[in-house]
Amino acid sequence: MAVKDYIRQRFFPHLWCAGCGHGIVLNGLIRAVEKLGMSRNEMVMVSGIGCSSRISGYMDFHTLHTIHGRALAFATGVKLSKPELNVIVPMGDGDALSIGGNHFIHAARRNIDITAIVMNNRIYGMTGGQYSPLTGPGIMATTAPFSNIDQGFDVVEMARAAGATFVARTTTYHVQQMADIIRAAILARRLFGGGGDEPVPDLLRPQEQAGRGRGDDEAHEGGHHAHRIEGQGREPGADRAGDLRAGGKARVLQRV
Amino acid sequence: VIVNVQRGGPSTGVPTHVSQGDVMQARWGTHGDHSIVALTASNHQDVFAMTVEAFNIAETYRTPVILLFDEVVGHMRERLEIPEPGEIPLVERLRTAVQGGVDYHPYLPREDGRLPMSDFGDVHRYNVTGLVHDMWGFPSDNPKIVHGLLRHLVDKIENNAGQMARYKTFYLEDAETVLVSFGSAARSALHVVEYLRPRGEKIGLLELQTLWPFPADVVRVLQRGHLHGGGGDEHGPGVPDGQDDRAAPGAGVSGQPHRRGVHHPRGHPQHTAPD
Repeated sequence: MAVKDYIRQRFFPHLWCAGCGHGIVLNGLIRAVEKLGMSRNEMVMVSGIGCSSRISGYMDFHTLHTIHGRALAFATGVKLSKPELNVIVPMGDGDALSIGGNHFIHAARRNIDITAIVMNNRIYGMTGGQYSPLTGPGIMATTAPFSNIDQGFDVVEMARAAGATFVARTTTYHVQQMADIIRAAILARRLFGGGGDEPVPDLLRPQEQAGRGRGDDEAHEGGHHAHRIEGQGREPGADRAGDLRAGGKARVLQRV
Repeated sequence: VIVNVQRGGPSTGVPTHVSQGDVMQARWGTHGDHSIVALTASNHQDVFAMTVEAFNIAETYRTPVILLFDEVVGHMRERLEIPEPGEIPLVERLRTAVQGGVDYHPYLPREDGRLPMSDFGDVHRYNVTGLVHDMWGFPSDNPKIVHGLLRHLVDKIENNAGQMARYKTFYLEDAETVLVSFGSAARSALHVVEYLRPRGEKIGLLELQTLWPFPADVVRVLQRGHLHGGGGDEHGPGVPDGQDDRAAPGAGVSGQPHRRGVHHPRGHPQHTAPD
């Protein structure tokens, strides 16, 4: 099936900004599902709130766009009701680890065969660049004008500690790997058999850093947020924490 | 279906004493324009019946229904006869007849305002969202679509307030004074009525079981008679005081925020019942 057959073209153009990595995750997801030969009717996508969560509406699956941070709770309900379906939960870092932090650890603990994807741009993008629990110290945000002072979570370690059985991390720079990891994450439940598991690939996207101007939030076009990454943002390559987590391989070449 | 067994508030309040202070929260506790259904009960048999009723209303109108009980009813023990299956009518979910593969409009109301559903994850793939959405479930900020959805959400409840009105009446045939009450307070009110009746008082009781949408018609009918309400027999605000015929339809409620049962068991001095 062609990639375009997996999306709801009625919904496009998408609301993501130029330079955003969400589309690359969407791409990887479609390619993973296509490669697995899964039909659209056996896929469920459950999301919360934020730019990342709009990914669900774009896919021609059974899609459930819920409330901030609670996507995993809704997904748990869907999976209990229809365990034969593949449930994928795309979340942003704020959605998954701040508002939904408790749901995140308990979903990992329960381990009931949900594929959770944390699309980590280390900022609240849709609302105008507020810092998130994954922003990390020393990074500018509209709510941290003198830079953030808090340590960030290591989401991979957190997921493992909470009991997730498949945990992987890649970046949107690694486009092929993205599709491979998502495919492995969806498959993981089969590898682990009836016990179920909680695959949590953390898709680290260090090129999308803080520093979006307040005015961006007002830049709507046809109801879509049109963010630009402005000059006061950090240089993409200067994301030390991101580089470190990605083993130094994720030096970002993409500029906007 | 959401169950709220009310106790004294605000915040963590006075655990675990009784109050009925969440009536307005049930009605207005979320943002935006909407309507809501809230049911209550004064004894365990009615708690059972109203819970079934709540699911029936939720299925019929596709709406959240709040069960607004109170601490006394929630904590006490009394006899309950569980009916046989089938004894209480159950509303089956209205499901669409549209076949899989055909363009299905999950949010296109029928002429009667109802929306035949397709089970999520079944043959139709559609989008469910908390955003204002069009007939396919796709987000929209088109003013016509926003207006249409809001109108639908309000009208499907308010236009059927009569169908959702549940209440019980005691000794109303010749009553000149009618107490209006609900929840555990209705038990006390009934006690008062049955105490005064043998003493020559023509007094009755209207026990509300539907609080929202407010059964204004029921109360209005009584108001044309000899209703002397004045509140006073409820634990909190939000019960019709029955004094003001000029009140707009559905607005026949007087908040009496100082009449908390916990702090003013005999009623607040500023709100003494005229009778």
